[in-house]
Amino acid sequence: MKKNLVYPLFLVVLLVSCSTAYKTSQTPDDVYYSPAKKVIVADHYESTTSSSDDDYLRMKVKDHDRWGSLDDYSYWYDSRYYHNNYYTPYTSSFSVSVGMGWGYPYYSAYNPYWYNPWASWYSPCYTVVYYKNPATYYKPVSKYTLSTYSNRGYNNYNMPLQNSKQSRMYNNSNTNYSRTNDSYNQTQRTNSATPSRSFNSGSMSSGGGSRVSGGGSRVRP
Amino acid sequence: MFLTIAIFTAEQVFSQIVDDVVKNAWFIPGGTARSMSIGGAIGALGGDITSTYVNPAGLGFYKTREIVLSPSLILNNNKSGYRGTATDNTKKTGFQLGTTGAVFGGKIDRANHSTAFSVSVNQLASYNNKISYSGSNDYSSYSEQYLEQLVYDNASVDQAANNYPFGASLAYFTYLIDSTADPFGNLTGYRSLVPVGNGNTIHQQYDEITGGGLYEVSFAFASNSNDKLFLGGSINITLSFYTQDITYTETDPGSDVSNNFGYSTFTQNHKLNGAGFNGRFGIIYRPEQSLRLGLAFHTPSYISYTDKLSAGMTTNTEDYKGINTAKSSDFSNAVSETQYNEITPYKVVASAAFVFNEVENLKLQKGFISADIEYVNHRGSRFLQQTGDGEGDPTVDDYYESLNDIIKSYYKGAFDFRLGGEVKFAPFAVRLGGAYYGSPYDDKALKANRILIAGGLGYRNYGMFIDLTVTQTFNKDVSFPYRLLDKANTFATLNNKQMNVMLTVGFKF
Repeated sequence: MKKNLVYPLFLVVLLVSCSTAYKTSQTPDDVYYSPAKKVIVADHYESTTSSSDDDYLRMKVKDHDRWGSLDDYSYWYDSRYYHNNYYTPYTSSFSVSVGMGWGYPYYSAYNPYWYNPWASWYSPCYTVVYYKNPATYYKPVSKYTLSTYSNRGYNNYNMPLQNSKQSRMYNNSNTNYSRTNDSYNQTQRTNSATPSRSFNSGSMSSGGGSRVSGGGSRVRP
Repeated sequence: MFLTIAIFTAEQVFSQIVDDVVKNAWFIPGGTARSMSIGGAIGALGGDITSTYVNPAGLGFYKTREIVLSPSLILNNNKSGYRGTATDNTKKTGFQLGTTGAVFGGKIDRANHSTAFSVSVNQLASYNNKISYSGSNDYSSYSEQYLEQLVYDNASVDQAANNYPFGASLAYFTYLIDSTADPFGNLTGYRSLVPVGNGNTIHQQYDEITGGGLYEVSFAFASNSNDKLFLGGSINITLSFYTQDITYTETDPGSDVSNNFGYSTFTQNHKLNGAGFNGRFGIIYRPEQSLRLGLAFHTPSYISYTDKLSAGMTTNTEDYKGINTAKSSDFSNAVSETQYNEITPYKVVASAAFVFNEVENLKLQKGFISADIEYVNHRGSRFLQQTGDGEGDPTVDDYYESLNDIIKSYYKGAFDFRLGGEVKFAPFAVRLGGAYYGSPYDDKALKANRILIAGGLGYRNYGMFIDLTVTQTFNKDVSFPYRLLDKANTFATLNNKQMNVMLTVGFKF
C-alpha cells in the first residue's frame, strides 16, 4: 500500500516543483496570450560564420586583387555540409534500401554498409511477412448478411398496436436484391405455425432431402 | 470404387463489419476538461493540447510548456424501446482517459516566428456500455435469418450442418431449424421450430455488454508566424480495443409443451483489436486581433484488425428433440480468427473563435466564444482483406467490394456542430458548451444523433491549472437483434444518457 502511494506522490512533487517558474508571477493562459521567453534571436549570418570568415571577407572587400585568391577551406570542407562531394562515403542509397525493399545499395569498396544484413533481399525484414497471414482467407464467403442491409422494410409493433401505429409503419417491400426463395408469402398465407423458406423449383441440386451428412462432416444428434 | 470425402470449409465471419463502421467514426471525441466544457469547439481557438485532435495548428499559440493529465469517469444510463412492449433500464460505469501529455512551446528560431511540439495520448471513444431490451413479437423470429441464409446460399443439409459454425449450423444442430423434403425425400428448403406469426407470439430478450475504447498516441507540430498565421500537423497512432458479449433469447411465453419449442439462447463473444495510423493538418488565421478562423483536415485512419469470434446456441424443442447445445468451437473447420484492414472516413473541420481581450494580464482577460462545423464522410469507410505480400483471394476481394457498396448505401456523410464559450475572472473561469452530431444512417427511419451539453469550472494560478467539467450526452440510436432479407425487419430504439465527470490537472514548466 505504501509503495502504491510513493509513485503518485513522487509525480505530484515533481510536477509541482516543475511549475515553480510561475509561482511568483501570473500563470499564463495560452488561449488568450502566450508570453514568449526573453530570448535574443541570434542573427543567422553571425551564428553560422566564424570570426575568421569575417576577416577573410573584410580583407577581400578591402583589397580584392591581393586577397581574392584566398580560399576559405573551412567553408568548403565544413563537415556539416557536403557540397556534392563525389567521394563522400555517405552518398549511397542506404537509407532507401533498408526496410523498403527497393533501391539498390550503392556498391563501393568503401561503403561500410554493403554487408549490412538489413539491406539485402534475403534479410529477415523481407521474409517475416511471408508468415504473417494464417491460411484463413480461402473460405467461401456468403453475401447473405450483406444483402439484409438493403432491406428497408420495418415492422416494429405487434398486431394490436400495428393498426393504431399505421403511420409509423414503413414500406414492407424488398428492393434491389434477388431472392432465391419466393415461398414466404405463400407460407404466411397458410396457417403454418412456424416460418419456413423453400428453394425455387430446380434451384437446389444437392442434398438428399434428409439429415444425412456427407463424409467428413458433423452429424446431428 | 471411389470414396468421395466431402471437405467442408466454414464461412468466414464478417457479419459485424457493417455495424462496426460507426464505432470508429461516429462518436464525440474526448479531450481535456476545458475543451469538453466548451463542447469540444476548439478548432480555431487553440492554446489547448486537445488541438492536436481537432486542429493541430492551435498548438502554435503555445510559447510556454505544460504537462496535462485528464482522468474521467463515465456513467451510462440506457433506456430502450422494443416493439412497444417493454422498456428496460441498464447502467454501466467506466473510466476514460482524456487528453494527457505535454506541450513544448516557444521555440523561437527567427523573429516573430515560433514553433510548438506536443506528445499526448487520448481516449477518443469509450465502448463501455450495456444495453438490454426485450418484448413480445408476433411477426418474426431470429431463426428466420438462418432459414434465409441457407436458402440464399442453396445449402445442402451437409453444408447447413457444417459451413455456418457461428450461426445457421448452430441452429441446425440444435434443431432450432430443420430441413424440409418433398414426398420423394428431396430437400425442398428449411423450416423454423419457433411458433411465431398467425396468432403466435414469442418473447425476445437481447443483452449486450461492450468494453474497450479507441485511443490515439499523437505527435504534433505547429508553427506561428507573427501571431497571424498558424500551421500544424499531427501524426497519430490509432489503437482500438473492443469486446462485445451478446446473449439473445427467444422463449415460448405459453405453457404449451406440445408445440415443439421451449426456448433458444444464442451467445456470441466478439473481440476486436486494431492498430493503425492517421494524420491531421490544419491552419488558423487571425485576420484581426480577437478573431480566429480555422480549417482542418483529418485523413482517414488505416487500421489493421484481428477479429476473434466464438458463438454458441442452446435450444429446447421439447418433445421434438429435447434440449441440444452446439458451440462454434465444436466445428473443426470454424475460422474463429480473421484479419482485415479498415480505412475510416475523412473529416473536415471549419472553425471560428472570438477572444475578448487577448492580453498578457490575466485579470484583463474576459473570455471567448468558439464554434466548429465538422463534416464526416461515414459512407467512405472501406474494408480490405489483409494480403500480406500476396495478391489475396479474389473471392474475399469480391466480398469486400460488395461490403463497401453496402456501406456506401447504408451510411451517409453527416455534419457535426460544436459551440462553447468561457467567461473569465482570473484566476477562475466558467464555461458552457454543447455539440450536435448528426445521424450517419442514410435511412431516415433509423433515428440517430448525439447531443452533448457541458459545463465546467477552471482555476489557474501558482504555475498550475485545474479544470473540472461535467458533460451530459444524449445518444439516440437503433439496434437490430437480427436482420432479415425477405421480410420486414424489427429494431429497438436506444436512448443512452452518458454523464462524464472529467478533471484536468496541468502544470506549467
